Amino acid sequence: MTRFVARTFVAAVLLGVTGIAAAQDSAQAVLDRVVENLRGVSQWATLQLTVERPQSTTEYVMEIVTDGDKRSLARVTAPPRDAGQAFLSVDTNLLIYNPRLGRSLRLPPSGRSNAFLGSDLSYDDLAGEEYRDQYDASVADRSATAITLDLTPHPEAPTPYGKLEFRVQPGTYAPLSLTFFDQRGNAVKRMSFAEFKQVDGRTVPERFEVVDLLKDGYRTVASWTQVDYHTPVPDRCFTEAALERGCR
Amino acid sequence: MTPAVTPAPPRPRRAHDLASLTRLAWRNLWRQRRRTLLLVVVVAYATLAIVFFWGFTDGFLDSVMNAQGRLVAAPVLISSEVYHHDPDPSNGLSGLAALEALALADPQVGAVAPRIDFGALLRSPYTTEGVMARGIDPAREGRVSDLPSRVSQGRMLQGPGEIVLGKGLAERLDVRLGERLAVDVSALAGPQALGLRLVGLIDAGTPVIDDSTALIDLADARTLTGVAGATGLALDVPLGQEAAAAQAINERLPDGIRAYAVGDLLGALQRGLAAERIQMIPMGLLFSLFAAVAVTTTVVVSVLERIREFGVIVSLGLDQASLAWLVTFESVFATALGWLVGLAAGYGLLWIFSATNALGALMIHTYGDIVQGLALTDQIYASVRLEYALFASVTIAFAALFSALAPARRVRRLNPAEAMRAQ
Amino acid sequence: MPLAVLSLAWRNLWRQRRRSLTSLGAVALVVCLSMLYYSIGGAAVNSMYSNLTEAGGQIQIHVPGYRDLRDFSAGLIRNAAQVEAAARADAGSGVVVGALDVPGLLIHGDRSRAVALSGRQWPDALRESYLRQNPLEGRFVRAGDEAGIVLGRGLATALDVGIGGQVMMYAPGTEGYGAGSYTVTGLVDVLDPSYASRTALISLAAAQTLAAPDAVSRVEVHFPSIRRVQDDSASLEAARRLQRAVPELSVETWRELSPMLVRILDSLRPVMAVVSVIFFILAGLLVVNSIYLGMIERIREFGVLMSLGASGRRVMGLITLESVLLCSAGALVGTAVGLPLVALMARGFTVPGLEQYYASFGMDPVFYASIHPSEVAFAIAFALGTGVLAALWPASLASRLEPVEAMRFTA
Repeated sequence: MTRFVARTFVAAVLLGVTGIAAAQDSAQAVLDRVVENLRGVSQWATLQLTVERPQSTTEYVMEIVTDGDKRSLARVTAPPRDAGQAFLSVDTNLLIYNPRLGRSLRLPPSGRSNAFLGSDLSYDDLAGEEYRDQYDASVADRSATAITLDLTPHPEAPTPYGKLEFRVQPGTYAPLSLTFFDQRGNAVKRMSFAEFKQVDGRTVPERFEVVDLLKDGYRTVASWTQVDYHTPVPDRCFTEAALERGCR
Repeated sequence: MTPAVTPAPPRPRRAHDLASLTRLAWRNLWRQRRRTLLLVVVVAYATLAIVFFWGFTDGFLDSVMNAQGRLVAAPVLISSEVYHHDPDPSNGLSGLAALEALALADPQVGAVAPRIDFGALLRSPYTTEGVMARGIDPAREGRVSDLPSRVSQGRMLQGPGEIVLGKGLAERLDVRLGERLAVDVSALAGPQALGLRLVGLIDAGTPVIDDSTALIDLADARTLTGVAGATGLALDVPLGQEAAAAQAINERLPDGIRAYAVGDLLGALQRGLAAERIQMIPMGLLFSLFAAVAVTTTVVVSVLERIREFGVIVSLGLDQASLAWLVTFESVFATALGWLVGLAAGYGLLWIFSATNALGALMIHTYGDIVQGLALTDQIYASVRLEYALFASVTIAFAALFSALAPARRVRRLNPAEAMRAQ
Repeated sequence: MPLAVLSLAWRNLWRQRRRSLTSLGAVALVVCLSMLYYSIGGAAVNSMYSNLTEAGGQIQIHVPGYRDLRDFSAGLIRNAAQVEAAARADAGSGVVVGALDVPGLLIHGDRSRAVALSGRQWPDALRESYLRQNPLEGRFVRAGDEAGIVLGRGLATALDVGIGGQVMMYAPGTEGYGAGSYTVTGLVDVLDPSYASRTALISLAAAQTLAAPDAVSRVEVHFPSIRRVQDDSASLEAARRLQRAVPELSVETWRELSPMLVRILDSLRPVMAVVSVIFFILAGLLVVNSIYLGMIERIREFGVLMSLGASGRRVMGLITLESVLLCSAGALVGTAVGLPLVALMARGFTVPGLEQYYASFGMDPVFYASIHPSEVAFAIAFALGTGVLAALWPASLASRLEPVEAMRFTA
């Protein structure tokens, strides 16, 4: 599920970039490669989502199945209190199932800004919106370990951030970290990527962390385990029936 | 020394008919200027007190309501009835042009401004706040709302791409002038978002406004909500005329659409103010009682003080019955005169305080922070309504009637000899 | 000498019984009515106070910094039962109520609305005053009922559901089941239109099951028996005790909780100030008229006195003494009548004929008068002062006339 986030959000950001740098390996070229890496792959996976807060830490375990493009299904298997909940995302529609309700319901637009399972992500992050032509990219730094891109949103872009700093691994163009800056030059949030795997010539992160740099102790970590890229994903996995019962 | 009731004189001289008694009474009033003046002053003041009491308290509460109304809502707002009970953008208005024309046709309405009120999420890099935002037409909003005049930093918005926030809200979001905010709305068209630049901060001196106001351009609001028209049409109506104008317009509005006066738009505040108004009723009754008592005692005392004089008059030949009428007429005339003077002075005072802002300056001076907390600044007006004359008249008439009875009776049984020796 | 003058003054007064009684009556009346005026003003303030504290109680307990918290979990008081017990121990006569607000989505069919579901306890006194202000159709919230919900009519219309219908509540990010299904048992006509489309009530138990077992958002302490602002100190003391009992939580009084409503209460003060000026001018006029008119008549008498050898100053002195005696007696009588009246009204009075009118505004039609000692003192001092001054003016007039002119004086 969170790769879906990474894919949609980050890729959406990047796809919207209009970058120009005359140098070889221009910003645009770099971004194109990263987008490739982040493009979704059809898969079955187990996702461990750890939501850390000062008073407590909650660990969710979810079974994910996605077609890598616009559809995905996530079913919570742990902790017991939340087990049985399921989320189905098809295009921009989001359906929720809660065993207490005994039925599924479509999350109306007004509910979409709620935090997903109380984490640092929202449903809107999950559904993803492609904001084209919203950012300008430039290469800020190049070293042996990382290429750093500065993404500056256009004045009217629907984002409160002043700048995004995107660090990318040279050569593989695997994403390393995405840091969100406010409009005063302070870093406020950081997404980092780790545990890279090679899949079909792409370097894909299987661990993804979001840290709130303003609030101590606020962190969300997602890591994929038991990822199966090869078993095909049938269409029936993205129906309401699958919400309630799964589709293995 | 009780005055004995004399046997009826052999032939009472009833040469005076009521008409001449009337004239005599009138002249008598002017003969005893000091006494008359006192009576007139008391009655006039009693009348004035009642009129002014109601005019002032009504006016003060109206001023508070209006001040809040012009900041939070509008003098009159046209919206669909469904929207009034369920303020969701899906219940918006269409056919705006026709409605605007209809509203402007009313002579009370000076201007019209469309609005879209909608729930939105404001996102800064640090936090998120849910608010009820308002899309306005910057060119026209100033006529129906005082908000544009309360911009304390920066400026009012002038077109799309800009946003103005209440000072407290901007602080909570930690966004500064010139910075960009993301505005998320999940409405008819599905999730929409815009990036808007903060151009102005509003400081109305009261948290109700400063912590919850977000103004954007109407075009941006339409983009965000998917509403093609508006959720409400705000009307500019003179102070005090809101209810009347709303009623007049309602008669011409199509079914399902209503005009709401500011009193119906304010929620909890309206309840608080209505409560204040009716809590003044016992006070008003006390005032009327007091005024009646004042008038009565003054009349009674002024008559009783003249007992010696009456003794002389009766011994000179005027019969007691005629004297009683004379005394009664004098009281009635003096009271009526006082009542007229009181009405004129009372309404005159109210008119002055309704047309100018003298009260406001006085209030600010003594109760500055209270007044400011109600977002009144210095605009406090008195209310001028005919019903105050009714309250005053009923009171005074009652008092006059009562006060005429007792002395008249005393005079009727007058024993001249005893009277002339009275102290 | 003083005793002789005193007894002379006293005898003078009773020589002119009617005039003296009239003047005394005027002073007594003014004192009595002034006290009534202040007590009614106090009643208005008390009524406002009741209005403001009825809904949320005089005291509320929250987690510290609750106003700035975004996180549902961070804003919870977790060991609710314990905190409520501690509150009950220190609250004296206060009624302790736990409340849990659950933000989320209320859904019926394909309609939904964002609401803050209010789960709370409803002791009798509070239920009565709530239903007085917000008329109910159907059945109200019952303690321990896990399945019933009461909706504001506006919300029910928006969701297109009626009594007997089923609604679902989706509350993500909370700590209980996070979702629940409820049957609408009642609809309330919410007095305040801005809450009409947002009111949804369930029992505290149901809210806890849904979102936060054994936790509450706040603890309210109500003092329904405190009806007068001047008795509010009992709640202030209780607040202090409570803060000591639960130092890790934030205990706030009603003034700290809703500054806006306190402003409305305070707004009565400028109104009352202006009204007081109007009132006391009227009172002054009444006293002056009664006493002045009487004195004017006696100028002839003063003339006689002066022609017999009394100096102007002696006459003035005599008059002053008489006036002080008379007005004091009047003030005494006025207080003797006024204070018991106020005490009677302090037990509760209504405006006959207007009870329905008040009820339609959701207000308690019973008023509770109260008066402050300083107001009693002012009423007496004002009447006394005005009365004495009113007598002195004609007296000084007389003392400056030639005795012969004085004896021939006519008003």
